[in-house]
Amino acid sequence: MAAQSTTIPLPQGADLTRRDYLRLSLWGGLCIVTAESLAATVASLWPQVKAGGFGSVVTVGKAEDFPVGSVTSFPEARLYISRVESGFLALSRKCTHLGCVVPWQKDEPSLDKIASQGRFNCPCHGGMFDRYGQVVAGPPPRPLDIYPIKIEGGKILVDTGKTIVRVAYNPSQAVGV
Amino acid sequence: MNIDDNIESKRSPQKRFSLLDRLQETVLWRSLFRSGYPSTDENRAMVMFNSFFLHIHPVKVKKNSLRISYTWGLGVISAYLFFLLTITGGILMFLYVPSVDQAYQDMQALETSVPFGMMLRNLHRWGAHLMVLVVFLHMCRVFYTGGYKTPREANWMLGVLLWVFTLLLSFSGYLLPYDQLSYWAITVATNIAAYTPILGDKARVFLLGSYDVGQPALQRFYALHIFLLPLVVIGLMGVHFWRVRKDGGLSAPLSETSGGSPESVDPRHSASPQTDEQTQLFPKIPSRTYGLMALVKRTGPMVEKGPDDTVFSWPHLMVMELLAMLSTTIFLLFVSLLANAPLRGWADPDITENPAKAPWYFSNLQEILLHMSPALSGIWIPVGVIIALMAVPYFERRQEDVGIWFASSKGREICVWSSVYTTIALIVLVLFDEYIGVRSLVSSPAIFPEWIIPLGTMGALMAILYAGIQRWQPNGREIALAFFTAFVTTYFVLTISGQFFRGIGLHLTPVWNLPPGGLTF
Repeated sequence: MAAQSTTIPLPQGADLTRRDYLRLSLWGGLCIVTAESLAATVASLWPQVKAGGFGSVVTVGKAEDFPVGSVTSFPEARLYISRVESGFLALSRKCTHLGCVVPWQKDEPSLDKIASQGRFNCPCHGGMFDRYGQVVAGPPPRPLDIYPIKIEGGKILVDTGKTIVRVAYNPSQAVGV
Repeated sequence: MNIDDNIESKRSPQKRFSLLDRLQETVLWRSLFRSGYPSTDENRAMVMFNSFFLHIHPVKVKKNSLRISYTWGLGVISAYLFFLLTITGGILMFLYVPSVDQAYQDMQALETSVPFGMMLRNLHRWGAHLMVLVVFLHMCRVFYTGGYKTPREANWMLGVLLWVFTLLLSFSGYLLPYDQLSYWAITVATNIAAYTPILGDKARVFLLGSYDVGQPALQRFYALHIFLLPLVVIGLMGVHFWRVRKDGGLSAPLSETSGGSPESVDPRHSASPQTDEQTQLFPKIPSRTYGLMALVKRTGPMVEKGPDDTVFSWPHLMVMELLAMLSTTIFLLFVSLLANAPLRGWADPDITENPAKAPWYFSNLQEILLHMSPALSGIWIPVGVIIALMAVPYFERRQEDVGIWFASSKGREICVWSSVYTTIALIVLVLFDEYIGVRSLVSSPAIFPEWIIPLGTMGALMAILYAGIQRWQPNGREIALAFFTAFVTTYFVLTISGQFFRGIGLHLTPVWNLPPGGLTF
């Protein structure tokens, strides 16, 4: 027996037959289930970690141990302490281009006016940075990221859990003694 | 019954009835192999139908598709390499633990203590590199012989996808040794993923399972490499092969198909002109065909041309395929005996290697990364190239030159001109950016050196290419040839410059002055 078509009046005036309704529910339901499964898969594979897993506050040393122009590497904290004229910068060692670790080259000619030697050379795509973390050459799109610094009782504390992305260097970024 | 006939004939009084003959008479044997040895035409047909392993092949093939200078066996070799990599990879899985503490030691064990471990690793590594190369060459072959044209458009798209997946497979395996080479190659590549539109850094973090390359990344790449990507590739390969058959076998010049190929399935695709309404309503049916037709549905070589242009797959195709596989195996064994797969120091997140280079098949991408925004060079250009490649058959639809290398002598000249022009332009650009540098000329705003100037340069170079070939008055096919040749040349030249001429800090360095570890395989 042929199904009698029941029409449900819609607000726009369009009619929805029973067949249309069932077809719509079938495809709609399939779409929803597929979307849910996909979302669940992505959610289950989503990494359960926080940015900068090392992220605690690190004491890197006494302020007076860093002469102006010095760049000191702290591998565990994944940063460099750069002492510029107006204070300290905690530079992330990750190149802002594609994430390679940027080594400090103390014997290469300097790119700033603080000292005559020393610069950062990224080995991956030839990016170069000065003591302020500013890009002097190559493809990196912005200066090296920095971490907030606090000086308490003559000791330098770096909060490695908070990365500060900057567009350019300005002297206020360097924390004075 | 034919089988019985065979056996009867062997039972001549002069011949000794051997053990093998007796075996072939058993119920067990005959349940396994339904037809006799393919020494008669009927059995040559039957063997293709009845064998699960052979039924992927047609019973008869065009002579053209057996010509080495037409296919170079590249498709078969690609598939064979995939098979070889599955086998060697499967064995490697027994000897490898995907853990940051264990992986590198397992690699060392493979090289020092596992019997034939080094050989196994070499076969897998060099086989993967060879597959990347062969798949690309296969794509070039199909393009230059016009094999992408109607009705093969969709299969061409599938082929482009298979090329992309081959690269992904190779690259996902690159992290597994967990040495310095792996670590930094994956670091750079996944940072490119951070330039994905909308998702941004989330894409990178999702890929790595963390914020840096580490245990979660190794595990993810392992799962992708040994399971997910091969699964996708097997599926795509299945459809790819199936469509080769359904689209009428390998492409061939019209002169060789006009009689109707044994595989032309859809009369709409038959090249024979159907003039009047009658033949359009009732597609031309061969007037006389092989007895084969009782077995093969809807395929029929026509009497005027067909029989002369085709040969039985057994033994002709079988022999050619066997030869291709055999020579690939010999070549790969030879390379694996001569050269060992590289293994650098244990991955060290504190020290970036200098130079830190991508594997050779990505050194072209690494090369363009040096000159423009990572979003442009790492995402938009590759995506653009893939879409452009897939779109070719929908714009270039001339049928006349299918199956002819470079279409015509004019086409050949255009290809030579295009590759010479592209090579010179690229060398000039690379030298210019190294010694003068766009960034030092125009530094701000950053959108100029990173986006506008590179895009403008590319556009201008393509416009010159288009203008340059006008003196040949090219048709659509020849224009497509010029641009495809420019793409292949770019791919090649940038691979050479990225791999052989980039030294410490990725500055231009001649290949003989490269530092140790300057080449990355």
